[in-house]
Amino acid sequence: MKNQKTFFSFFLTICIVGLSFAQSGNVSGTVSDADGPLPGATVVVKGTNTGVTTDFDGNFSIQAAGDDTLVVSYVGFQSQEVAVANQTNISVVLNSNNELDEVVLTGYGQTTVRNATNSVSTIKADDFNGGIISSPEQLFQGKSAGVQITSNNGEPGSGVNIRIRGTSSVRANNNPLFVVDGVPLTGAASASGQNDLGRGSSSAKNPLNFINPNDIERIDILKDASATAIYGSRGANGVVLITTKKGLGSSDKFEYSSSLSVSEVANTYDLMGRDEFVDAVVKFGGKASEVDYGGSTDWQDEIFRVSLSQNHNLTYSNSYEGGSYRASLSLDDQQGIVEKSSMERMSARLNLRQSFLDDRLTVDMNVAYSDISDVAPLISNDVGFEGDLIGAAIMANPTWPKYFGSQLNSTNANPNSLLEYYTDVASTQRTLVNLTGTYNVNDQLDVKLNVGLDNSVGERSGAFSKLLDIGSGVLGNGKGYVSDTEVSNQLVELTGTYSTDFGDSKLSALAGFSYQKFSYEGGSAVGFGFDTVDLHEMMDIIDASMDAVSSAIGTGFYKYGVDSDTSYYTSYDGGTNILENFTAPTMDLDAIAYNGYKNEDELQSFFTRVEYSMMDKYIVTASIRADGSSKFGGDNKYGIFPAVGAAWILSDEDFVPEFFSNLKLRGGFGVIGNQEIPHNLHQRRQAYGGVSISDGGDIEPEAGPGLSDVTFANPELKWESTEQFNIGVDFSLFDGRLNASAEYYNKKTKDMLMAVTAAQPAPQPFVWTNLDAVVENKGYEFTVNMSLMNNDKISWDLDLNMSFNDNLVTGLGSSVFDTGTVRGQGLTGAFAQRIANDQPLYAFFLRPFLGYDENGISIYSQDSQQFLDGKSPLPTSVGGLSSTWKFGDWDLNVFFSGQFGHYIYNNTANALMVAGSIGNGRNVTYDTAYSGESNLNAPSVSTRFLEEGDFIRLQNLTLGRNIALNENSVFDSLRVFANGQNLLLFTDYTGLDPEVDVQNPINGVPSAGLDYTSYPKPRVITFGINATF
Amino acid sequence: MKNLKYFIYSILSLSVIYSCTDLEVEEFDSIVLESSASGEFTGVADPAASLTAAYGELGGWGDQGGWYALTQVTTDETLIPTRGTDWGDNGVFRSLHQHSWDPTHQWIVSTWNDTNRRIYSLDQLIHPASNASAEILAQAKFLRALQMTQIVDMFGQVPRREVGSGPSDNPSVIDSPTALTLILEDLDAAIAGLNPLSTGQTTTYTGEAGTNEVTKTAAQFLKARVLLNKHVWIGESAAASADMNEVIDLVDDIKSQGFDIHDDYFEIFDNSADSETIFSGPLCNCNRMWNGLHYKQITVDEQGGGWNGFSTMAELYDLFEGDEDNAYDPTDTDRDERRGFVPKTGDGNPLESDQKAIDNKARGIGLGFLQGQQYDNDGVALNQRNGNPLIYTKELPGLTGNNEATGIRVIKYHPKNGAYFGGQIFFRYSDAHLMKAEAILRGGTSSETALDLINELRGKRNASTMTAVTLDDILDERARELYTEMVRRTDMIRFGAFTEDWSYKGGTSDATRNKFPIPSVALGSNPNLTQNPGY
Repeated sequence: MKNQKTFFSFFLTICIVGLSFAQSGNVSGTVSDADGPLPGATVVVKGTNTGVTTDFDGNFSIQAAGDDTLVVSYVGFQSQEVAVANQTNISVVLNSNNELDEVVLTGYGQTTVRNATNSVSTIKADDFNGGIISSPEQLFQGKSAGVQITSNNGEPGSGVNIRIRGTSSVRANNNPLFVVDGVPLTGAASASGQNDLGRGSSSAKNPLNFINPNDIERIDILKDASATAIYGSRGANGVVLITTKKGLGSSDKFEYSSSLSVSEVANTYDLMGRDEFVDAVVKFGGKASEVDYGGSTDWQDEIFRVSLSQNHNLTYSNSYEGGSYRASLSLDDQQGIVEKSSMERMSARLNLRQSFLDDRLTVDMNVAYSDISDVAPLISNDVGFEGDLIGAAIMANPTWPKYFGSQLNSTNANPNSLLEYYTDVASTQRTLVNLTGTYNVNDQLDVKLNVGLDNSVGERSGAFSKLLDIGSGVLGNGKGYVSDTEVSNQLVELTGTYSTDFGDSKLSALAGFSYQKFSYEGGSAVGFGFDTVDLHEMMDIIDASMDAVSSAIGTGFYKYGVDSDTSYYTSYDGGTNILENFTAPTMDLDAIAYNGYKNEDELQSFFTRVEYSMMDKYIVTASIRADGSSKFGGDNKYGIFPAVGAAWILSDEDFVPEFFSNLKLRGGFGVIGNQEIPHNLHQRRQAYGGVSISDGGDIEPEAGPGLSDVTFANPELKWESTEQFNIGVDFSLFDGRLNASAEYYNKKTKDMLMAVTAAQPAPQPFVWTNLDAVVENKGYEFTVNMSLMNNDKISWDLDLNMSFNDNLVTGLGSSVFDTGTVRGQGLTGAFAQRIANDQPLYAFFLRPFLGYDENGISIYSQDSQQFLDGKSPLPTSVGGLSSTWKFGDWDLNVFFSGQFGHYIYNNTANALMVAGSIGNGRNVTYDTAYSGESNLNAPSVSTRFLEEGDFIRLQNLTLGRNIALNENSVFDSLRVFANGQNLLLFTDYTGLDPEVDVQNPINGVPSAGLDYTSYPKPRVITFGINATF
Repeated sequence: MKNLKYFIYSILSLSVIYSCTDLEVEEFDSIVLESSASGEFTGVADPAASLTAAYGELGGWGDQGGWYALTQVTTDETLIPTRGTDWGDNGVFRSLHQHSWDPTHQWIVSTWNDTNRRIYSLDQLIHPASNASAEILAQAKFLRALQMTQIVDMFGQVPRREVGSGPSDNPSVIDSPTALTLILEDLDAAIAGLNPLSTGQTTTYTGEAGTNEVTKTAAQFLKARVLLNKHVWIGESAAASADMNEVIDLVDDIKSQGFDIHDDYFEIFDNSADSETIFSGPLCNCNRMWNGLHYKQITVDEQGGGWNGFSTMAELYDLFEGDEDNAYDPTDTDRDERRGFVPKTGDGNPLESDQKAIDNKARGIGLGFLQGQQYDNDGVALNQRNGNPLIYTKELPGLTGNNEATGIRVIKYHPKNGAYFGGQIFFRYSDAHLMKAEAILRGGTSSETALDLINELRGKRNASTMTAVTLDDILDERARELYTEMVRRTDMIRFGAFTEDWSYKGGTSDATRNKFPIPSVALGSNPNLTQNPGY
């Protein structure tokens, strides 16, 4: 490469020598690449014949007007246009055309694809998924081998689960660490979940929704230990580095993009109509007169809708001597396919770079602000048989009249009443600021200080009108809640990189210190007994009452309760604990109960990494990080996480045939940690119990809560660790037109942090401990990128990724952990999953169902639950296939993704699609009514409701056109496109969508692969336009 | 290399600035109990607030599952058949009814965990380092004795953890005789340290603050119960007469404080004053009120409706005298008041024809045993949800495959008092009265005879006079007086009747069923425990 460069520069210098020496231009500058100055690059004034080449130091000088544009090009590099913009000194960095020279990010640094020793996937903006995108994960769903991304449901902005190389632990948060422009984010929710007012609660929305997908330049996913160990304690689930777009290299450029999307529910249940329904009730011995209310209503039609969503982005970017900036503003209005569900997001970002001290000091500032408003209908994870809005729409009697006043009884709600008399709104403001100063001490040494602040303030509130008859004391009273959440995360980080060459060798070293502090504060108030039936007025009353009570008490309170004959609060102000009565202010509600919380955690780390390469083909990296966390006590505060990685570029060896344009073998081993456990479990602590309002409207406990233990302190608690071994081969054939990788990995998680049953008597039922067991994930990953066709007129690229994972728990002995609560009538205490030795995590544990006897009663091979040959909700393989065609101005991308080998427990069917349901006058599908099951059969948890979850989805299809513009056009570029999401779904699953995860944990052990009346996934068509000017 | 040095210096200096943190964070919403360097226990933060929490824990005895289900559903009083899709509940009720529970039964596990945890919290409060006042100590000791009695009664061995010890320390285990010594010591301390209710004072129990505070009377009652069962719990064939005499003395002392049999049986369970209630808990009766009633049986304020699950069997219903027709008839004088009634209907709106029916109008829901056709508020016959008449039947097709109407329903706390009526009674005088009669039959000495005592009670309940009384008669009388009051299991074991067969039980059970198994998770967490025989 270097020889080639020298040759070209020599040649070009001879050719244009006269020209370049003759002209002494008014604009000068330097052209360089990632490795340094680039001699022999061509610099031409756009639209003219004026051109020069750079000298041996990469310098050039050219005559150009203030409003001219320079075109800088060089063989093997991407050409770049730079506006002069009245500058006299312009520096240009060219990016290589060669994929091997592309940059990949590693933690706290970067390397090239060629030199990388570890397993990193990079997805750039051009390859992102299109259409309606709420959060960054959706941008790369299906795009990277070994990365399984499952959105919990189809609600706008819903939570997303990411599993990189399998599920390695048993806690609520198995998601990877997200690092945005160098700031590691907390995994905590930025607004609370939905409170349970009598129809279940739901999970918080995805905290990453605050990032405007349009601001993201690239996403780098660190998968193996040699890459993630530099993030030590938080690297065990992988690390996702998000880099936002900067203003570098652009000049005075506006970019506007806009899209309009039409969404509809992709799939609904085939429920019976009014006549079929009445017939079926009669068939099971009911009386038509008792169930026929005369109407004819399709309740799914009532709650689902075709919705319109829109997105607008405006960006301005500019660069000038010594600096650049990019500012963006985005408005996103996503309307859900269920009535009264939406997410509206306003986001703004300013990324600024400025150089000082002769370019030796570079300061980057990134400021992002977002304001998200969510509206959610009554859809919850853990509602009983009465059902949430989706459940109610399935069960509702189709002979009921439509209008919402026709509430007929308290257990089977009219879906229109639930829509009319309930709402849930959330508003979240999040600010992420980081300031980085990089000082180039000399050729060898850079020092970087990174200071970050991430703060989010969220409020979520919901209300049931007193007109709604659903039990729980709602009718005639009304109930509502308001929850406040404030999460903040402060980062101070100092790193230095030192690099040097000697002989054939290159050495670079990184060392750093990092301190991060997380604080969580908030509370939730439930109000009871309202005069008004206006839902928003109810929420305002709760808000006003909270303010009134706060001022009556003063500051420093944490829990209180007020009703007609009770008003007390509990507090730990100033280190003392009190329970006191106070005079309650006048409020427009009958009772209010508030429970607050506040805690802080700290993380302090020291880390270093050394990269050594010899003859550019033997590369070794080693890193070590010491992480200290306030979550652990005594001698266990610090954990040490080492890793090594090595690569051998075989294609540079003589014995490897030429047709390998690249062949690299790489491997790594490392230990990474996890500390995602609740706050301070290592100290003996006491707290006041919670305050609540009974269904009758009384504050409980009446006399005030007592003080009791909140922890069974375990001072011996220590870091969970994951050992990961990884070996891979990368190769390129046909002059780089086929690039492929194959990898094997093995991950073993030890000392798993988990809450286990305490040996009673004890202060708590459970105690957190390091479980003496191993969760092993091992598997293969394959990635192939092919350029099948590439000429002036047409190109065709095909990208394929596939991964296989095997999960097993060993060393657990006889301990078992049940999870996966199954909801529904007659299913109290039922569960579907058990974590046990020699089974995969979350293995299904069910009665084997054999059919019905002559009376329509279920037959099981045994009336107790058992394991089913390792059937689990964890996919054994996931994959993605993307094909892109370009013909002239047109481009077409088709993207399929799939997950295979896993099972889904269809709780919706277990609870609602059973003969007993129609026997009791609740609607079911026709097939359910005529399955041969008796209406007196009790549908126990069994394999009857366990289904294969395999699916292939046509996830994204984009057709776009770059419109050719004439020179006088106001636009520099213009693109129009149409995009379809979720256009086709191939699956045998009988529920609405097999990509689903409703959390129903038991004793804090999360569940997986349960489907229970989830918000269905939409099918979306988007039309959009992108323009720069 | 000089650069590297500078760099390292600057990193280190920054580290020093920020590593002022020793990673010990401040607590804002909980109190850290400072333990001394040796890890010694230094006491609870606020003894009075710990006692409040201990009273609050009594609420954990409520509900329809857990401890309540273990005491009721394992006996001949309560049956929860599956009704269509309802009440299968993963077999939890069926295995209790059929005495086929195993060491993983969720309510055996939760009862073991919760009850032992409560004992530990009280151990902490009672520990000298907590410096609790004498008044608090006496109450705490009563509550500890109450909880430990449950463990002895159900499991026959009690784990004990040193206060302040950590998760890696295994609790020691004591046997029932040792535990009973501790229980009786606690009760004597409570009796000595607590005041009785003043003579003649009657109490109402609506779940209001303070009504659950224990008195000397409650401690005396519990001691009487412990002594009456003591021979069973320590594995002896007969009661010691000294213990029986003490039972008699304790009951006499309770009576001398003004407690007596209350004349109107169902008034005991509403919020009017009565002379029976000795100790009640801050529990809502909601679940136990609603779990038997049909969906269409609802409260006046329409805030609650039945869940159509719990029912009883012929065994219990047939213990009562009188016509099987439960419809209320004020002229009917030869029926046991305790069996209750369904408000009578007939021509017009007969509910308004007599005061008692009007008082109990409450949506046409009766009291005691609900059998036969049920009515709504206006006296109109109710239908099931599918349109067929709602007639509660004595006979059931079995434990599974029932429709909405099978099984007699039982109700003591009535929806007329509100959907969320509180104040679950734990101890009341008639139970003590029957304990005295039993103690006499088991060898105790009294100026009264067991027969006189039984007939005194039966007279108040409009039941016929008995001419002779045996221990078996006492068991039956206790069932008639105390049905669904959470004593049947202990009673049946004491009388050797717990292993007998009854409807849908599937045969007699082994004597090892008199104890529950130690939960598997408990055995796994503490090697000092040994499994009870038979599991």
